[in-house]
Amino acid sequence: MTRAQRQQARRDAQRQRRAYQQQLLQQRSATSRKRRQRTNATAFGLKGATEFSCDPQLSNPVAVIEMFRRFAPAACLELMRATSPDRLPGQAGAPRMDGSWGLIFFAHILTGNPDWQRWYNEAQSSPIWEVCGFPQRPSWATTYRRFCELESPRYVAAFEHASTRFVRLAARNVPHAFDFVHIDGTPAHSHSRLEHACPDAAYCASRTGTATRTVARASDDVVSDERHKRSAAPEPDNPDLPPDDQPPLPAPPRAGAAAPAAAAVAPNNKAYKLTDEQARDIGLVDWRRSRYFTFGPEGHIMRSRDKQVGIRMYDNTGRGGKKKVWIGGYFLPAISDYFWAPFALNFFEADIQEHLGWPTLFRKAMTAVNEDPDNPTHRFTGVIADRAFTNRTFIGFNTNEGIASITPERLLPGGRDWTSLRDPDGLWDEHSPRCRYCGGPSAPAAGPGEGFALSGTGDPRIAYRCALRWTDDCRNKMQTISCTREVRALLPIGRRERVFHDLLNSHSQFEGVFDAWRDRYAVSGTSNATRSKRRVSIEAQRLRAAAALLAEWFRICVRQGYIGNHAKRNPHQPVQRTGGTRRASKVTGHRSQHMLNLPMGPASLTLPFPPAAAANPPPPASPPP
Amino acid sequence: MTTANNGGGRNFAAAFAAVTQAARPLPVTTSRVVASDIVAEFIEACDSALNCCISDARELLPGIDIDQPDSMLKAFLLFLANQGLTSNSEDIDAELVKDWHTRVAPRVWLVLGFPREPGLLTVQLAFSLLGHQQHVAGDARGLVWAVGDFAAIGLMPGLRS
Repeated sequence: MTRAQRQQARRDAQRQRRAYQQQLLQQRSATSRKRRQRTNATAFGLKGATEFSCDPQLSNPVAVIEMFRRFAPAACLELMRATSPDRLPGQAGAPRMDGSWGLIFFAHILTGNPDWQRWYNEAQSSPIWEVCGFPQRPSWATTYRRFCELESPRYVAAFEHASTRFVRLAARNVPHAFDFVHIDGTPAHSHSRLEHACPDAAYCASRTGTATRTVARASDDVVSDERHKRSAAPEPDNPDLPPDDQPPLPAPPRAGAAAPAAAAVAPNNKAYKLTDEQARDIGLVDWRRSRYFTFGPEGHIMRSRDKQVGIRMYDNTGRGGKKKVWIGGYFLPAISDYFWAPFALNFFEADIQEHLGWPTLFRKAMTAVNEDPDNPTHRFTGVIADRAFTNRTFIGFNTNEGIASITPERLLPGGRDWTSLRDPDGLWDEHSPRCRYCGGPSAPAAGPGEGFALSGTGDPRIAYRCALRWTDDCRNKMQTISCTREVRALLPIGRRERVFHDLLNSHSQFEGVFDAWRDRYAVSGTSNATRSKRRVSIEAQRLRAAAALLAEWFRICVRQGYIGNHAKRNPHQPVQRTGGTRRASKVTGHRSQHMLNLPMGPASLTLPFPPAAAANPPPPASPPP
Repeated sequence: MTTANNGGGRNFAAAFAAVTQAARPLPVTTSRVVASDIVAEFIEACDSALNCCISDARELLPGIDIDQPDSMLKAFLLFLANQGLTSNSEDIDAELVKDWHTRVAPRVWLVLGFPREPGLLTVQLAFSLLGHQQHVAGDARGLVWAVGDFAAIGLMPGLRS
């Protein structure tokens, strides 16, 4: 073989190798696209998975702890170790008594008692101490100290980690159980009050506004009313701003009077949270343990003895009432649509907008369901939320993650109607993409390659075909559009799909999960009877919620028979969600009314009219003689 | 015979409707598991065998989250030898483990490698998991089976308590 032939052979081999690598890459890309592509979806719900009250064994904390030891010894051992502090050899102090404080807190949560001391007094003669490994009942002081210790994020994470074991077990048994996730926020009130705390009389005299000794706590109804009013109002121009920076809601107009214009934020009604440095500079001595606020930049200083809180003011002065305040945080759970049970939780301060807690919650939810959230085996198909989440930030985040946002329609910023989302060039309407060749509506995804998918570069795109098939291009070409062109209209699961409305209709039932959790575990309490009396309310709530998560999912796994051999099982079978008929027909009616099923936009104007069907068909020819 | 026949006085037993019962046998005195020579030799032999088959002690007991996995496995082997049990999960009863745990002298825990006596709950949970073979590293399963089988057929009478 000559040298030229050898070079040619080498070049051929290189070319073949490159072609093979290219082929492999295309195959991998196609496989990935196929896996991430979605054409249609159905939603199922299972009743009775969390109906623990009908099972005396699952309602008894001692029996549940015994089951936990027997059915899940590895999880129990892991929880015991993770909730025990490490003691170095030679460390000062007597060794701790035997027994697991993690397990006993788990037992405490199962009673649903928000008050530690009341629970301790009631559990004096309970066998729970022995079941949790204690040789004798510890003193109240020791119990209090150990429970306080458990509020550290390290131990909260241990409870959350233990619960993921059972969430993943449920996900392995029912792989589609976590396709759809409901989220909604509910207030969690702190036990502290907002009290006047100017450092001295001279400072107080230099402040503007009236010095009030304390500000009354807003009731749960006041907070809910305000939240619902804000949801019903048009989407704010910047939905991520804190609520005190948003313009106030206009009061309802009186009969015969003109509608009032939106007022600017009154500076004295805005609560400013002081940083630790600011509080120290002013001379507020308790800045390490308390959180300080001012009403307006020159207002009086108010203190909350609970440091990790946010506040929202409710100004009723225009209606003859006093200012009220919500001190505490938001409890935002991710609830499985199938099991009707939260599987990931997020607590954050009340002055943060509700939808801004979702990215953290999303990460926690992915971690709960997947071993490796960066290479997940379970992905969420859709997230269902109320109108407060209908904003560009929330929907954009979900679409970029490949998740459908299933939220009701809402007035757009500036009071614009939802129909104003239509593209002037006719590429999409307020519900779905449209054909770029004839301006007709898109057909529902049915064939291979159609539907929503994240492209190789992470761009969320919808592939579709024309529903009218007017021109040759309409008939033959697959069209794609990036959802980022208008995230609120180009949704991974469009508003024309039945499953969208079935899920949205079911969302109202999930408010009941909050009530159930307040009753079962005293999580996110809003009244004096249900809220935690701890000074660090958010940390205390995080611990309660993490332990509640473990209790919930362990009992679900037992009740469904995924673990152990418990005799009493959930008798219900999953049923498909079919409650969205009315909502879906409204959308169909809207589309007919606005003629969205006909070609529209510039593309349709350039085309000749299609051959019209004859109004009067010719009479049939007379039969041959 | 009643008290009335003995003393000739008042029959207190009859007055209080007492029933005279035969004396119950005394409970069998349970033998303590002490750090005797034979126990120490057994633990040392287990230690040598484990060192031969496992390089990293953290991989010894997959799925069991404890501080000293090698010490816990040696304790489990001693438990099997003391009780004459095979390493079958159905034989390992929580009450049996509790009884054994109370009988083990503190010195034995030190010889096993525990800095202080492990809690009963930890031992119960760990032993119930060790009854399942998937929680023992593959290289050490043979040792567990061998000790269990020898103990069950009575080939280690000196360790039986």
